[in-house]
Amino acid sequence: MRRFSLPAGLLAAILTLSACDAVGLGDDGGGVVRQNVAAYPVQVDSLWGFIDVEGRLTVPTRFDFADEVYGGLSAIRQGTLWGYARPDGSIAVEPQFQVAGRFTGRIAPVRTVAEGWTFVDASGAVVGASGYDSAEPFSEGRAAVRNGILWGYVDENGGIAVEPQFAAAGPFVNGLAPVETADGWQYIRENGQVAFGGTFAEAGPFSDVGLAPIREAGSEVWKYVDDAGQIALNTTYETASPFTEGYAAVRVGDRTAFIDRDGAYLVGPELAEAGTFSEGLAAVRFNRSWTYLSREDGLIVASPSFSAARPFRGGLAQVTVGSGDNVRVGYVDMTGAYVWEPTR
Amino acid sequence: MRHDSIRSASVRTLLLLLLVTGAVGCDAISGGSDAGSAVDTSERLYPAFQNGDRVLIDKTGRVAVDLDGYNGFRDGAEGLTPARYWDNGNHWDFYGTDGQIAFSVTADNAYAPRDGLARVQVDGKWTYVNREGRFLINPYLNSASDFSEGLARVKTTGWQYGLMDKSGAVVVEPAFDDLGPMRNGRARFESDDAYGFIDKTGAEVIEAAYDDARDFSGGRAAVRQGQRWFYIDAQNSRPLGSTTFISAGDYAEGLAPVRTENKWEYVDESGTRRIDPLFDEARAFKGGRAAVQIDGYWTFIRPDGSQIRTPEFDEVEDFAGGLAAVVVGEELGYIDEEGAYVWFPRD
Repeated sequence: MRRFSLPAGLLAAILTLSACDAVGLGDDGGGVVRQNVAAYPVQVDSLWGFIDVEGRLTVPTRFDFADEVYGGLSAIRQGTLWGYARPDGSIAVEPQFQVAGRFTGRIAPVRTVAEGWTFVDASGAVVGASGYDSAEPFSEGRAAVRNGILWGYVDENGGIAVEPQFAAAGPFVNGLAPVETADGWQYIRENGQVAFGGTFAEAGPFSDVGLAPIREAGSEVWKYVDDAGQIALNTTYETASPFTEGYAAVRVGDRTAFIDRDGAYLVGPELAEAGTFSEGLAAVRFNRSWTYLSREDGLIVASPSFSAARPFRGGLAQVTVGSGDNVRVGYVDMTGAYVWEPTR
Repeated sequence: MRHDSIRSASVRTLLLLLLVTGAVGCDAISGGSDAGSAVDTSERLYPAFQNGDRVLIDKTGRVAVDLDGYNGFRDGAEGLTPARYWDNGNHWDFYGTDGQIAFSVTADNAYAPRDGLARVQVDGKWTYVNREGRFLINPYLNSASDFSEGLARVKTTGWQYGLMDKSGAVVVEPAFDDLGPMRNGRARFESDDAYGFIDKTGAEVIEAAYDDARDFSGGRAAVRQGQRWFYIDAQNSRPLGSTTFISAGDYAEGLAPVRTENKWEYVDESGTRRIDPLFDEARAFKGGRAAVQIDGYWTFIRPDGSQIRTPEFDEVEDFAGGLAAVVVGEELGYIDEEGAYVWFPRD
C-alpha cells in the first residue's frame, strides 16, 4: 500500500483545487475557489440518482452507487462493476471495471479485471500502459502509479513522466510533489528532478500559498517549508496539514487549530478535528459531530449535527447523518441548511 | 419519584423538573445556572402550564404563546424566554416579549441571555449566542456560566475554570478548581478546600483563607472561619467589626438574612436587627421582596418585615421582572409583588 498518508478528504480537496472544472482561481494563492458542479449524487430507497444545485431530483435513482461528479463524470457502480455516468444520468462508460477513480484530469484511474490498474478517457478507452499495481487520481497533470513497491508518475497521455523509484509519492501542487526516497522525503518537480529535501522524516503536499508541512529528521515537531526548501514557519506543531485556501490545520496541545500563512491563528487550538477549506468553509468537529466553519471569521455557520462532512463543491457539501444501518446522505448549502434532507 | 422527593427538592431542581424534564443531569454537570444577585427587572414571558400544555404568559397572566409541540422551556431574562422542541435534534426558540420568535438555535441546552449573551450547549460543548442568535465563539467550552459584570466563568478544553470576556477572549486562564460568578468585581475561588476572591484580572486579591464563602452582594460577602460566619468588604475588611453569626446570607438592598439563634432574622448595614427572627429559612432581598419560610411553607416579606401573603407555597423563586414563580404541590403559579395571583397554580 501507499505509505503516504493523508486524511481521506484532504486528497480529494487538494485534487479538487487543481481540477479543470474549477473557476475563479485566487491571484497570489490562498484564495477561495468556486467549482462548477453539474449534479450531486443522492440515495433514495438504496439506489442513487442525481440532484441539481437547487436540490431538485433531476435524475431518478437507478445506480447501486454514484460518486460525486468530477470532470463532468460520476463514477457509478451497478452490481459489482464500475463505470461512469454523465450528470444527466446517461451512461458514458458502461460498468466494466473493478474500481473506477475520479476524473480530476483528462484521464482517470481504473482497475480492470484482466490487466490491473490503468487509465481511461471520458469514452472509456484505455490510455497508456496497463498493469500498474496501483494508480492515483490526477493532480496538476500527474498521477502517481505503483509498480511492485516503487512509485512513479504518469502524464495525461498515459506516458511515464517519472520512472517508478519512490517508496511513497504524494500529489503535485504548485509544481512540487513529496516523495519518499532512500535518503528520506524530498520534493520533486514534474519532470522528476529533485527540487530539494533529503533531510525530512515526513513531508506533505504544497499548496498555492507556497508552503508545505514537513518534519525534519530527528525532530518530533512539524514546520513549514517554502518552495525553495527553506524553513518558512519555524513552528513546533505536533502535526501539520497542507494549506487549503490560505489556512492549514495544525495540532497544538492535543487540539487542532487553523493557522494562516504567517502562522497566526484563524481558530485557536479548540477543535477536536478539522478537514480542509473548500469554497471558504472547512468541516470541523469539536466533540462527536461535524459542522462547517467559515474562513471569514473562524466561526461555525451552524450547530454541529453531521456524522461526516465532505468539502464544499459548487456551493453544496455532502453530509452524512446517523450511523450503522441508519446512515443517510444529504446536502447542505453554505449556511448549513439542507437543500436535500438526508435520505438512504 | 417526584412525589417522594418533592418536599426536599431545592426550588431550582424542582422548577427545572417542571420546566425541562430530563435536563437536570446536564445542569448538574455544568454547575447549574446562576441565580444572580443582580436584579433583572426586564419584561419577559414566563413559562407556565395549562391543561398539561406548555404556555408562555405575560406579566398580567395572559397567555402570550401556546407552546403546543414543545417539550421544554426555561425561565426568561432580558426579554427572551427559551423553549425547546425536537426535530431530528433539539432546537430552542427564543421568544421575545411580543410573543414572536426572536431567534432559534439548534442546541441540546439553552438559557436566557445575561449581559446580552445566552449560553447554549451543542454536541456536548458550550458556546454563547448573541441576541440575534449568532455564535460569539465556537462551541469548544467544557463548561460555561451566565455572564455577570461582563465576564463568564468557563472551562475551555480542560477541567479548571477561567474567565471569558464578552468578545469571547479568555482573559483569565483556567487555573481554578472552582469559581463563582463575578459580583461587585470579585469572584469566589477555591484552593485546597479554602476560599478566597479574585478580581476581574484574575489576581487573588483576597487570599484563600476562609473555610466557606458566599458570593459578593451589595459590596459584602459572607464568609466562614471555623464555625462562625461574618461579612467582609471588597478590601477584606470587616464592616461589622467582630460580629459573627451561626449562618449568614447575601447582603442586598440594605438588609442581610442572618442567624444567631434557631431562627433567621434580617440585619441592616450596621448589623442592627431590622426584622425579627421568625424564619426557618430566609433568602436575600431582591426587587424589594425576600423569600422566607415559616413552618415549612414559603412566602415573601417586604423590607419592613410584613408578609405579602400567608405562607402557603412549597417552593418559590425570587421575583424577576415583577413576578415570582410559586409551587403548590406540583403546580406552578405566579404572584405579583403584593402577593396576588396573576397565574393560579395549575398543570
